Amino acid sequence: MSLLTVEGLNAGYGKFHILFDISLNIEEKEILAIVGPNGSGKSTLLKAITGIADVYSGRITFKGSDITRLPPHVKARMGLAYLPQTDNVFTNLSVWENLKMAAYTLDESIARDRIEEVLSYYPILRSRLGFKARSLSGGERQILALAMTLIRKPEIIMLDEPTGNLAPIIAKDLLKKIQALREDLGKTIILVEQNAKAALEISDKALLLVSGRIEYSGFASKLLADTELSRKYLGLR
Amino acid sequence: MPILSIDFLINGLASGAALALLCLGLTLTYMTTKVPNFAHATIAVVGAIVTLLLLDWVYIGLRGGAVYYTLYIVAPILSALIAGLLALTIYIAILRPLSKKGIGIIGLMIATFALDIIINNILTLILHLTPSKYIGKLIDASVKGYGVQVYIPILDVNIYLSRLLLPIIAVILTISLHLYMTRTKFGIAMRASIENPQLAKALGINVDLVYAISWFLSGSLAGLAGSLLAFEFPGINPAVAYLYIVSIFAGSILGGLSSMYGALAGGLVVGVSEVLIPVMIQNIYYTITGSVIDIIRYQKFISLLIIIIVLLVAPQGLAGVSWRNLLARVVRVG
Amino acid sequence: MVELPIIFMELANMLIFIIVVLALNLMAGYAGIPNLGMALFVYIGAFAVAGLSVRFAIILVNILNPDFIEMMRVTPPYKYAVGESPILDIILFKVTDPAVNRHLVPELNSIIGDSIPLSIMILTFILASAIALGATLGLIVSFTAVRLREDYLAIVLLAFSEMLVQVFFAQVDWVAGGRYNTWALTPWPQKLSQSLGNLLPSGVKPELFIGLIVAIILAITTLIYTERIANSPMGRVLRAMRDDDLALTSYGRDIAKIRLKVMMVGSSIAALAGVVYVLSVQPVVKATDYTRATWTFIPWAMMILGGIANNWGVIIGAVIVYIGRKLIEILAPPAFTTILSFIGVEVTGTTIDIVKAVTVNILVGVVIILVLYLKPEGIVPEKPSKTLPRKTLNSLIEKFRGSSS
Repeated sequence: MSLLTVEGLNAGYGKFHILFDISLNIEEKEILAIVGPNGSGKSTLLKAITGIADVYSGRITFKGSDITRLPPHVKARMGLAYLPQTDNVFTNLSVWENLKMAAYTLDESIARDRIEEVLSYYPILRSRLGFKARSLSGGERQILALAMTLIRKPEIIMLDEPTGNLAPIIAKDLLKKIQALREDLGKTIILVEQNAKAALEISDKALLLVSGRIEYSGFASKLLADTELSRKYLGLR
Repeated sequence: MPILSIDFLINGLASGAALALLCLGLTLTYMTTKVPNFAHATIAVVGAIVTLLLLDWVYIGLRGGAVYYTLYIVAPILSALIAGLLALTIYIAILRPLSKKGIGIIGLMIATFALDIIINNILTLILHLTPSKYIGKLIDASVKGYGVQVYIPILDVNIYLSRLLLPIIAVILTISLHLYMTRTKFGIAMRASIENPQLAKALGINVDLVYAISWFLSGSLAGLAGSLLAFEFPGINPAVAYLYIVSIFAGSILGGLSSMYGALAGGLVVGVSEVLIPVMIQNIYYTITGSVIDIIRYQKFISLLIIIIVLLVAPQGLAGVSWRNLLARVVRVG
Repeated sequence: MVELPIIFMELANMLIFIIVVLALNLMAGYAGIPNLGMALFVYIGAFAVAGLSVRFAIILVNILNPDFIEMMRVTPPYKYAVGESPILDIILFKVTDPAVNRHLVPELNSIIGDSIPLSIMILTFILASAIALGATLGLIVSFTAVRLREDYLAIVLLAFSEMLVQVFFAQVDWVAGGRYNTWALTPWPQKLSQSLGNLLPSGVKPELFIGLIVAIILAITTLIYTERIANSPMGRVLRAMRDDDLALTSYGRDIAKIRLKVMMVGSSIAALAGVVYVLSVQPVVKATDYTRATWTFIPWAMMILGGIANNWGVIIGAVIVYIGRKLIEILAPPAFTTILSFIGVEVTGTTIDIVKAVTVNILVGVVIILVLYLKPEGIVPEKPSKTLPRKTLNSLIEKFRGSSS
């Protein structure tokens, strides 16, 4: 059952037209990787879906209803979570306080349960509970950001380059955790990544964006196997 | 003559406490709405005038008695409320609409500059036209001062009651604010909004409410400080706000304009220095030359000096100093 | 009916404000320095006339007439104040002593008035020192401005102005009279004054007329200079750069040099405005009179109303605000007296002056806020520049930040 559909999307920032006629379709519990060279519009696509970038034309449908022009916080409440690359945690607040803020709109008892769930799922956070987020390592911070997203029990999680700036081992671990979101929790994931190979390896479907247009849309494994495309646009050998 | 006597120390402390509260208010609105509020000192004077009116109209009789001492509680609270509401109104009615229209920081600064002059002049008008219960107009009564002194046996000094109260109230407020900001959901939300308004909004926090409350809080702190100062300072001329704002900026800049604790520390340092340094210099000069020079008048220069030094040497102020690193270098761990 | 002397005086005063606003426009509109300390820049000119030039004059006079200072020791009313003090002491400290000053200055004036070369020398000194002081201030501020963000800069300028004018000059008695009034020199040659006095209708003092002419000349010169800057390609660049720190740092030295020049010229003009003010309108100089309400606040209101960086706009703004102020000063006291008499409060003597000043300030403040809200570009808006407005630039940067897609 199609969870999120994008049809004929044209989007950008003000006068800057970045995305041209983008269409995609993601089913429940799928992992979709959006890859492509620098500046191809990957982040913009996520931002357009969330509502941060400007949509010029096209339609975005979520669970059957049209959400194209809805403001970001409404979409968030509907179950679409967006995790930006930076500024995704409160660095001056402790891990505990960050989680409390993520649960801000929830009832006290529900909040308590959700935070407990998330701490059990990511035990590393429990050991860092009183620490300020700024003292966490890069990988830990991203885990905290993931945890904060999970508290709202979203259906789709859209991640914008989560492994940027992380050491390869940590990045790998994070990607495994992202994959686990689907395996353990049944979430649907859209993943924008610069590190194409690693992302494609954990994904079902892939979207290759080049200069704001779709160059490939289909199975991730097929894109990985397509040596011409992956060499040309993804820097893979 | 001792270099420093007890009552000068307490005076310095009171001055530091008052300035700490004022710098806290200024830094708060700066951190949330990014505007340096030039009207802040005048808002403190609003608190002072409210207290003055209260003392003049309500209080009848000698300095003493139940009514008088009750006023020490009622007046600051009332002044804080009114000043807070004024600051809140300034934000909601003027600064927020201007900001929504796209006016930048400089324009908002000019707006607070204009508001400063408007409010200050209104206060002058009130002082000159409102009759006092005792002599002529309120402006004449304000010269008398309503302060009462208490005797402290342990230290063997006479101190104005309000000067004694200031540091105590400042400490209580600091602790309360700290608890509020770290133990309550909304308090934490305030800190979150200050740091990353976009993320806070995304999580459903009403950032605008946070901003509004920060302005109310800022005004209340100013009103409170102004109120206590009004109890004993003869001569409340609203124009003193014009000079006092420089000290407030000095303390806030020293604090770094980026943390509330920095603001408190900065205000304390500047406030204490402004009182103690001239006195120390005077005493030293007297000890050396035997003659008296009057340099209390120039105490505001200390603020200017502090501003210049901080901006030249450490623009981040006290908040920018890495206290952990400093401590690690000074204290051996292990 | 309004008499001629009053018209001339108001005209001179208004021209002085026009000069100040044009100078402020240079600083804020072109050099990008939000000068909230304008009062200091104007006062420094007044100081050149009252504090510095008096000392220069007494030295000069003493050189030409070596007994002058000696004579002061024995002649009342000086002798009580001057007494046995050494000459240096007299020049440095006693000249501004109120007991000495109010007799000394008129006497110096008549001595100078009798000698055309002396008159010219004093005049030159006044102008030169005012320009030097102003330019130095401008230099200091420019250097500070490079290191500071706009809001910090505004705070520092305000602090500086308040400290220097209201604390230093207003409290240190010997420098510029401190808490007491000092008189300024009127260095016009006697012959000029006399011949003018014959030509002018009665009631119009020659000093006022000369001052008015000087004001007109200065105003026109300033306008020519500022218009030249405005219409030059450099002017357009300055305006565009004004709000964009990023572009500024990448453009570097050349822009910085031009900004410095513009700032220094602006400050010198402001100082000269102060000189003209003292020479034509208010020869009694007291630091506490140079308040930020009058010399910072009102010029800013004029500039915002007229339209920042637009020279003709700010002149129009100046005229409107000035006339408005005069009107308020005339209408406010009777209005207040009538309204308050209903409540039973009487408005007496000094209170009337206070009422005048207060009402002007309140209404000017309200005007500033209204203009910011309704038409922030001012009555005569700035001609658009080709660069993107800062807000758009910022939001674009925001959106692109952190994503390499």
